[in-house]
Amino acid sequence: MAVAMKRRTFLKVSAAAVTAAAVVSNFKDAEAAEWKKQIGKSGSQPDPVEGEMKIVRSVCLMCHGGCGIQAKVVNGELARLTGNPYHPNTYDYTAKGDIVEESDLDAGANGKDVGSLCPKGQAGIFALYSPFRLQHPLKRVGPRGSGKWKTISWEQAIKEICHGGHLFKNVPGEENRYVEGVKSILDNTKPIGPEDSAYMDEAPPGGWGPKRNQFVWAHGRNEQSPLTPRFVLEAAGVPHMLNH
Amino acid sequence: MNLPPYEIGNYCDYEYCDYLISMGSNVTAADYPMQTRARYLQKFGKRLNPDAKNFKHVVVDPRFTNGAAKATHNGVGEWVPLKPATDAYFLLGMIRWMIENNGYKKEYVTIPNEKVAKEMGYRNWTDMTYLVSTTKPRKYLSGKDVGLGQSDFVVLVNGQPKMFQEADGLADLDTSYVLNGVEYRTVFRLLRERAQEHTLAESEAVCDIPAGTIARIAQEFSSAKRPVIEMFRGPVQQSNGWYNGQALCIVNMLVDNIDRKGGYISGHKNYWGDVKANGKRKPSGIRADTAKAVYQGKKPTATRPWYSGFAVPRGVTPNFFSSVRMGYPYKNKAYLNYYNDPAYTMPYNQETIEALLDVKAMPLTFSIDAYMGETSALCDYVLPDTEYLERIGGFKTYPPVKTQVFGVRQPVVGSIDPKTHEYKAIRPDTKMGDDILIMLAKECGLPTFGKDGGGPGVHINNSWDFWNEFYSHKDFKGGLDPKGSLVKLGGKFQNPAPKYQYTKNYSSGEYTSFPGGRQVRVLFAFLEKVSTYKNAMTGEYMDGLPMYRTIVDCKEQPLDPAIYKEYPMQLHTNKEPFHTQSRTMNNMWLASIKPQNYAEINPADAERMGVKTGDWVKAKSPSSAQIDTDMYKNFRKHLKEFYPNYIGKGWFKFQVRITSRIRPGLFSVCQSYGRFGAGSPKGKWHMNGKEQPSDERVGAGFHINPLYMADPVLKNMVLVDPIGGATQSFGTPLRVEKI
Amino acid sequence: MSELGTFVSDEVLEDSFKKPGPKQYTLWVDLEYCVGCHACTMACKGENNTPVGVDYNRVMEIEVGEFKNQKEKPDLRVYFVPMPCMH
Repeated sequence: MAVAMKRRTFLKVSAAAVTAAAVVSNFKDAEAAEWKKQIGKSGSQPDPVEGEMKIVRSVCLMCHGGCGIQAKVVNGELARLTGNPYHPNTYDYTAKGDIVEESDLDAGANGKDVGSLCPKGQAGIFALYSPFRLQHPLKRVGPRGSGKWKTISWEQAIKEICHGGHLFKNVPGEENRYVEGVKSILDNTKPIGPEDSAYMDEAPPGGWGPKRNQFVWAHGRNEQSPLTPRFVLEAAGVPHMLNH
Repeated sequence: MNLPPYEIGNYCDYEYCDYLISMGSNVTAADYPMQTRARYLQKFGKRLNPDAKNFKHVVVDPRFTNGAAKATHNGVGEWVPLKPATDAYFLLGMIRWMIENNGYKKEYVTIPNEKVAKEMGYRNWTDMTYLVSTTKPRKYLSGKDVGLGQSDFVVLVNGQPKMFQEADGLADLDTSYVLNGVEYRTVFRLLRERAQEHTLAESEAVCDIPAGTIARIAQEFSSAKRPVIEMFRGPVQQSNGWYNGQALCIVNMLVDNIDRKGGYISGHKNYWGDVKANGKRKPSGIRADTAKAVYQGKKPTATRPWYSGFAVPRGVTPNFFSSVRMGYPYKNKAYLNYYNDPAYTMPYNQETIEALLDVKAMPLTFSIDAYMGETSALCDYVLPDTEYLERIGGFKTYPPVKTQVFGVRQPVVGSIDPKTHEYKAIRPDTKMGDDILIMLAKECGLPTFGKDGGGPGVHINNSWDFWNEFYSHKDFKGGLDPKGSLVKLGGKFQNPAPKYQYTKNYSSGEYTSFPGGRQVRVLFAFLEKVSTYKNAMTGEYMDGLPMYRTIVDCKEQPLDPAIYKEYPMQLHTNKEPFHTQSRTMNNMWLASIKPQNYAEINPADAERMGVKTGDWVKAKSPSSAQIDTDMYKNFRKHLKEFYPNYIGKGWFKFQVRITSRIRPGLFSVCQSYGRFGAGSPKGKWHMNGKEQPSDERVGAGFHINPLYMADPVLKNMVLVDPIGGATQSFGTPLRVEKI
Repeated sequence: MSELGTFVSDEVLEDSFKKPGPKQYTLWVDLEYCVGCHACTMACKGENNTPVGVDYNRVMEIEVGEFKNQKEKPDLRVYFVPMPCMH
């Protein structure tokens, strides 16, 4: 086996550049080349050697099945994902009686009651530490799809999206394009009229509804209910919560 | 995605069934939760089940799935390689055989009401004895119609009409009744007549399976002790999907296995909390996808399809993306893309991409995403989400778990401020999606968030505030207390022991404890809500019973037979157990298991074309050449980057793999490959002028969505079920040639 | 191929461990439970923290028989065989 394949290499290579092995990790932007080198040649997850270990039980979202996961967290770094033995998806404990307290199962880091987890679930570690993850709010600085972005602050992002303006005046072709912000769209309770629809003769007797319906939400996997429907239906007040 | 008719059932209780037909259900490799279902089937169904010795698993699928591999492993199970999109013929064929050969539970289907059901020891009953008009729109005969009184349904008892609730015993099953010159037939008779529209031999010819298969399977099925036929996306993700699903539910109803131990179940129940919504708004008007509404315009027919709220409770997103450029039903002003990737995942995605690139059609687009996904890359703003391991929330589960469950999602890394409860992620400038939505709501001054958002004194300023409140009410108490068992155990779970899963209170046999919806219920084979709904494109009423159909367009017309001559093969997709749609090839642990996909074809087709594994072929669909037209002028600017395998005039090139696991005539491609975002160099992007990380391995393989056939009437949307709103995911006619 | 359907009973399994001689570790994989999902590949990866592209554990897929004529009942078998590195 080549030296590069050895366990524990990742931490040494990457600690300085990518993951500080402290409780609150501090990710820095990794250069593309640097990352490529790291994921290609060394381990592909953090591997803290020693330190405080804790178990956190949560729910997977690599797919939509809702399996319980048990995370082994060492020094604030996620070291391993297995199934949560308390969750019926991931462990059959029918013979063990009712589970009320944590002590009803031997579910610790080296416990005998081990939950199973599918390949996608176990690979969640890579998702967390993926080099492809976004780090900052982004605004495009070229035409749509140009792949040219700049980082902006959260304050600026939220302000521009909510209040609109000549947001893309530096983008060729969009110098004079005024963009209406989400706030004014959502506050508009006037009915949608011919200025917004060339199909008024297809509208029901009650019309298309208020102009705020021109805001559309579409989700892929939404497991944040009831917070997300609250945002769309009760806060924004639009009828369409589109899914994938 | 909508599953018809969802409330009847949608999963199999693997633990105690002894004859299982999996139809378009990639069990052990897909479905939710994949590993749980695999375990229940392999461990409980096939080994610990008291009837394990007699267990037979039949897999009806164009592909020899992993489930089929396990089914045939012991020499007992069987693979029926059905031709894609012919499910209705197989299922209605089964119904025909069962009705004609006494292969159904006669006593059960003649129960007219709850009272009789209870007396005879049943928890549910069916509408098989209810009378339905034979003129359109077909409706149930009501008590008022007959002048008997207030009743939604009327049955015949010894030939005499009675309000259904007043029948004291079994009602007449296969019969009819004439009132004012209009004939009314029982649902059972209508179903029998429908099933008898084609012979089994005709159905088998359409399904392209050996003669005698349907009768043999139906015979085995109806004589088994605990038979069940289950589906997943296979039968329903089709333009005839609603009827396919309905037919499958009826096959189950005929053998009385709905909500039964070892039967067809809708399963578990989740625990639930509550957060009051102070000053909430009320949505009104027509949705942007013209779904969940009835067309009532002045024009006799509509420009675009509309979808019934009964059949598509979840909406029809392709209709939004395909209508937005023409401003139908009204113009769009802002689009929020939440944890979503339609530019990659939408079948016939060229339209989605073109719409997203159009600043006039979609003036403001922003995305909440953890990656520079294909869709985020086409938006104006991208707000960096945390991963699911850095979130607060919770989720239910799915059958086969049949007890009460709710898992609590909590961050496994990062930190929560002890005072403000703000979450700090390991990448400090990313935020939980929840927190982003709350920031947007507060900036816009929207109700139900911020100060007093959850009622007086209940401020919702961040995700923790919301979920702590949620976990303090109804089935929960104590909120997100780190010392509480909810947080420590990662949820609230009922032991999945049989005593909690089933109830023995009924003399006819055991039922599951938690059926969908109401405990005691009537199951409808005929669906009046469908038969009284008009197709907005034609103005015609739809049919309330399943129909013998394959692929249909938005006007419910079959495809032009000439198409099948020119495009003799069929596009088909499959899924590996280690992939999801758009979250796995950018996960390089998973990407490395199978570094690229292939177009998989049968050895018979390979011989005919003269190709072997690794060779290149080209494929085009009846609509893929539209890419070269002005319809997609913006998409074309990116075509070479996104789809380097596009070679012009509608042709895409693919590398083939020869395998007997695919039935002849198919061109099967595993989804999730060929990424052009989320770390793929095909979706290269720059931040502040600096190129961002990408890896060739993320973008490896082929993506087939632009090959999906567009509706021949609408031209710019994938074929969609006019009733159920599902896309035609399998069976696009395809022309394949060797390069 | 009916012999493939017979499960190995617990007794037979126990007996196989009773062999005389020095203690030797045995890895028992019940192939009836293996659905070819690659969870073992990922578990190995998580435990050993190998680089991307280096998987000590693999799962082989073996196709037995051929299916070319849809007018005949297929007789095809596919077996999944996990291949741990045995370290």
